[in-house]
Amino acid sequence: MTYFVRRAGFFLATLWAAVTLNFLIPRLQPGDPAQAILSRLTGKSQAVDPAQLEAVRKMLGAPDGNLLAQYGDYLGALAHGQFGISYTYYPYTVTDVIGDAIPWTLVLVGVTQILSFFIGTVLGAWAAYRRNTRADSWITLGSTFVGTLPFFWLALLLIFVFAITLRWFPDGGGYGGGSQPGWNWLFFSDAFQHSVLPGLSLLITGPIGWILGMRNNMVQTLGEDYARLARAKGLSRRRIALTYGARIAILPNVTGFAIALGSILGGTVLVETIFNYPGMGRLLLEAVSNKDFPLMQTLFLFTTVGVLIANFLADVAYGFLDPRVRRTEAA
Amino acid sequence: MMRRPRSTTALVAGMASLSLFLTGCTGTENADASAGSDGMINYLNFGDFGGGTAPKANYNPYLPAFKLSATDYVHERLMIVEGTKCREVPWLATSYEWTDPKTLVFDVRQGVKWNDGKPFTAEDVAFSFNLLKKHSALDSVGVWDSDLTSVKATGGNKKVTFSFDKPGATAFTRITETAIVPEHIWSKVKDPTTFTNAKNPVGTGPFTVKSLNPRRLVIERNPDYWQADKVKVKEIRFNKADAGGQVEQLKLSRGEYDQQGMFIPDIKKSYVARDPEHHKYWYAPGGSISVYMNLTEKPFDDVKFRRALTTAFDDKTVIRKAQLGYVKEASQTGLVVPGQEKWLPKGIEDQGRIAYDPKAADKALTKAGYEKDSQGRRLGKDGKPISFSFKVPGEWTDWVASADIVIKNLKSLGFEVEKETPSPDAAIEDRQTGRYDMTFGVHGGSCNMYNNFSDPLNSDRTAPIGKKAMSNEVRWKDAKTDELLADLKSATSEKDQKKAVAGLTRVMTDEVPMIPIWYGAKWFQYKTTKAVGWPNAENPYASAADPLLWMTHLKPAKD
Amino acid sequence: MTTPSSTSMTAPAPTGAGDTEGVRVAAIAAGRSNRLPGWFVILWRNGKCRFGLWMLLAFVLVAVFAPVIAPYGPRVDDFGLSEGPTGAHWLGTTARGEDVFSQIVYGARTSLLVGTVAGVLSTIVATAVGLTAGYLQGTVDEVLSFFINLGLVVPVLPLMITLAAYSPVKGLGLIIAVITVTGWAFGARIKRAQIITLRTRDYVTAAKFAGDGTARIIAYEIAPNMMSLIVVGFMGSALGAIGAEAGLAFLGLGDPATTSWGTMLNQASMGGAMTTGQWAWLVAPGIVLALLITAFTLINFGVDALSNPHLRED
Repeated sequence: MTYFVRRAGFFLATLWAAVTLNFLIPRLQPGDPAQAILSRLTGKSQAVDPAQLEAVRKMLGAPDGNLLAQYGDYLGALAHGQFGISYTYYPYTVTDVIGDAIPWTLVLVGVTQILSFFIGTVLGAWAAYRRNTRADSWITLGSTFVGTLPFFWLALLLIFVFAITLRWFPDGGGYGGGSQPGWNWLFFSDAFQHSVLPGLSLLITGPIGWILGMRNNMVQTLGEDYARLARAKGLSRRRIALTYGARIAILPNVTGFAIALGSILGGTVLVETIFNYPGMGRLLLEAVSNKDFPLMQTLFLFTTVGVLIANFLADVAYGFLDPRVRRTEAA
Repeated sequence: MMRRPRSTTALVAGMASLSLFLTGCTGTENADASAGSDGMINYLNFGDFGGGTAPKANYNPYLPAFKLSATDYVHERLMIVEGTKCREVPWLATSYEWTDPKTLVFDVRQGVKWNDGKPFTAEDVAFSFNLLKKHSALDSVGVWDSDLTSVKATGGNKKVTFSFDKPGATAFTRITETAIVPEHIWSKVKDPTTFTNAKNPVGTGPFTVKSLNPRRLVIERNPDYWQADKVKVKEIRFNKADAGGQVEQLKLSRGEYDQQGMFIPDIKKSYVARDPEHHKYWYAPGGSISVYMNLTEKPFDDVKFRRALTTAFDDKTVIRKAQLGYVKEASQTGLVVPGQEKWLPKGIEDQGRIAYDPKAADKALTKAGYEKDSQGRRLGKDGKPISFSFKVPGEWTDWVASADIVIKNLKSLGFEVEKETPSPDAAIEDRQTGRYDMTFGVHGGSCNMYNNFSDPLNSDRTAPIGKKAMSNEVRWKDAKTDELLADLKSATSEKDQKKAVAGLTRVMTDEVPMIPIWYGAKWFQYKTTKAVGWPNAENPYASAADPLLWMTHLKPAKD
Repeated sequence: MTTPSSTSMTAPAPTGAGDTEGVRVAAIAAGRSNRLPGWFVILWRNGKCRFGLWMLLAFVLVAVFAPVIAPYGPRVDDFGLSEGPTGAHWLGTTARGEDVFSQIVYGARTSLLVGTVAGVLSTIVATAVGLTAGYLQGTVDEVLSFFINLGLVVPVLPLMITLAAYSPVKGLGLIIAVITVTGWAFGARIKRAQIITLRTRDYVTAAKFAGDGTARIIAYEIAPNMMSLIVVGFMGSALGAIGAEAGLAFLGLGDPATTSWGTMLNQASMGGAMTTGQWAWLVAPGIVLALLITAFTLINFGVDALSNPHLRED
């Protein structure tokens, strides 16, 4: 039981640390959101009108009170689920803005993560089963090379070839200017078209980690004593690979997968930026460059909480699945 | 992925054909039915419409940093002072008069209707201005920062009277920049500072909002517009053009926009050459980008030193190499020439542009007491080599390239110059707080001559080192300048204004508070396949920021 | 998972973390005949790893002799603007008239520098924290473990972007610092686990009874057994750092004044390489980046074999 209590304690402590970090980072940085917004709007080659700057400053308001009081207010607002008004999308609230972005990221990255995991695990298991054969070499070497291609570069090339030159797919965005977001077929087909290229670029590089991880885990378990024993008992190679190797080797991958699902929000900055995909990653970059502190803090918080929850669940699951872990942790 | 190449290819091919099929269904967008038979342009494709990467409806004209660009086509102003030659074009007001230096009266146009059918009156005008008085956060042009005391509808609801407690001439352009909103709608709004005006925004303008999704904003012609006979464009589609980038550049070069205002490298090759007959651009000069010297430091506090440096910078090379030839050489007067040439005092050579002459700079420096030592180092009056840093935001590559040339020029005169490349935020903050030796700054370029000179030079607008200056970032403090600015502020006749401006340009050329190098360009690309009559260098009737003026000039292309 | 740095967080932990004594024995056997460090011999025996080492060597040579190999300086902008590949400029010129090939050559320096320095720094931090936590245990361990776990769950890429965007000065130093700050936790966790198994081993107990001090035990008894893990950690960090630098620079968060493959891609993207049809400018930095990361990954195959004898090629 101590194991689970400790995990829960850690969960809360980390949450607190993330919240506090979140509070501190913007306050430790130079710069003025009003200035950032207007500089972006006017461009660097035109002077910013001081009157306008003054007006925007008044509009966004400045936090008052000392740091401790601000911290208290911040925690209080968080407890009530108030994340404030976005500086970029004034006067819309952060919740409005993020609410629009969440489904895009969840669907695009969720689907590709799940596909990557399945493709990767199956290929990795196959490579381990066929260890030191040509199939193994092809899978490991091939995936190594493909996996090292800089992801954002691959995405650029995909756009260039399929969107710009061949014009098979749109060059960016989550949907076209012609369709209206909603529950209709036109919009879904449009959204699907727009998701093909970003999805593809995630799928090309996505499974690599799972392939290599699965292969290594399985080679390891196949070399363990019980696997050798099973072979000595005359079980078929195939059966050993499936019942002993794959089943045990998949454990670390499953926890890894839970964590990966938790961190999808953070992992999409590049893909969403390149494809102008209307999700959380691109929003984060925009918030950062506009010094949109409320939006940035909230995104960061969501991301951290996502990872934390996934970690917590993975830990708990692992604790149930493998009693040895509970013992070593307690030691 | 590696193991089953065949199935993967098949999958990709399948998706591709599916998408082709889908495009076939929805793909009416590319049909290029431009000019209709009714002498109208069916639609035009414009560039970005603001509001960040995932825009949400916001047509509040008093939130300029957040509104979508349709707002400027819905809400109009009393007059338009166009941004090139600063011509005053009567709009919702037919004329104006200074009845005395403290009283400005506009004649409000009669017969104008809001797009919901209600009549537009002088009351609406007075309401709009008083709304800004009440909510100062909305007063983004600073109308009430001047000496304005009241705005009232007068003359049987046909006139609007602006009263000032001091001569108020400088407020004129600010007044003309203020959008007018309908009283019958806005008086019911609880908090106009958070009002998004999202549903069918009511204005007097030539267009109304048709549809919005975060990728596209569509506005359509208002048939009851007060000068509807002049508007030949039925629909404008603004397309989300995220943060420039190469996909946007490609779209532009392919001619997917009828009008766009973005940076594109090598425009002649990448845009004009694609269709020389129809692809055009016009980069009008904007504000001056100048070398700012920290005037509280030695040797920059010495006027002779600064004057010597006016010939030290190779503006032409900066423009050709670092600015890709898109911009023009700036005048030392602080005016934007040739647009503002009428303000130039008589007898100024080459409109105040100072040619690069390193030998003259060397001589002048030596004469001013800054000699070179045997190693070629330029010495200060204390006998020590002069060394300072040049700050330029590292991310602004064209500025960095410009700084490189300027630094080379300075080094060849024997100065030790170190380049620093902080982030833009930090660089801007350092400039405002005066933590720099030398850097680039931007000033002027608007049609408000008072702002043009007061912002960078008024001693009211500066602050001690370490504190944020409002806009006088070089920290220029000069009684004569302040006096001239006061004169300009109260001058209602053009003659008096010209006299004051002439004095200020002489401060710029003689005292050299900063050294203008180039004019920032206003990006403006247009295509003449559907519409003709765009403003350009030959016919600069409006600037890139005056879309309402283009809309009354655009006509369908002949073929 | 978009950057190598973030994969390091989610990648399954090497399961054979505890099994390095086998390595030691094998390494001693191998090292005797070759008079080379044992871990290196194991690396060298692995075909993939050997190939990776050769590739890495090639990159190092290019980086070291960049001024000799590159026909021009990376920032010399005296050439025509946005030219395609020609005899004088093998990969064309940039929008500012710089030679693309020379930038590629000099870019190797940046990538290797970032990889090495950030790799070393985060390995040092990871080793120090991991060893201290694992060896001392008790309250110190509790506190340090909390920070390790915190470092593991804080989303790396967003944190990197936030840190890089808000720093007043851009530069390679900053990128390295950001990568180090965000990238040490994983290594620390593994090293902590490793030392917990090692500290109860007989020879450590024996040394303790012989009166050896803590520092001496760590330095002479424990550290040699950690060598392979430290190498693993270093390679992983270096790999992550190179990818992270490229990604940050590509997003425009690097210092445009440094010549790196990431900034090249950023400038090619912003400078209209697609509009002017300059394929080489866009493709080349990506390919060299992929090759360098491949080299590291191939070496990692050998490194995995170090920590996990089952993966060893005989």
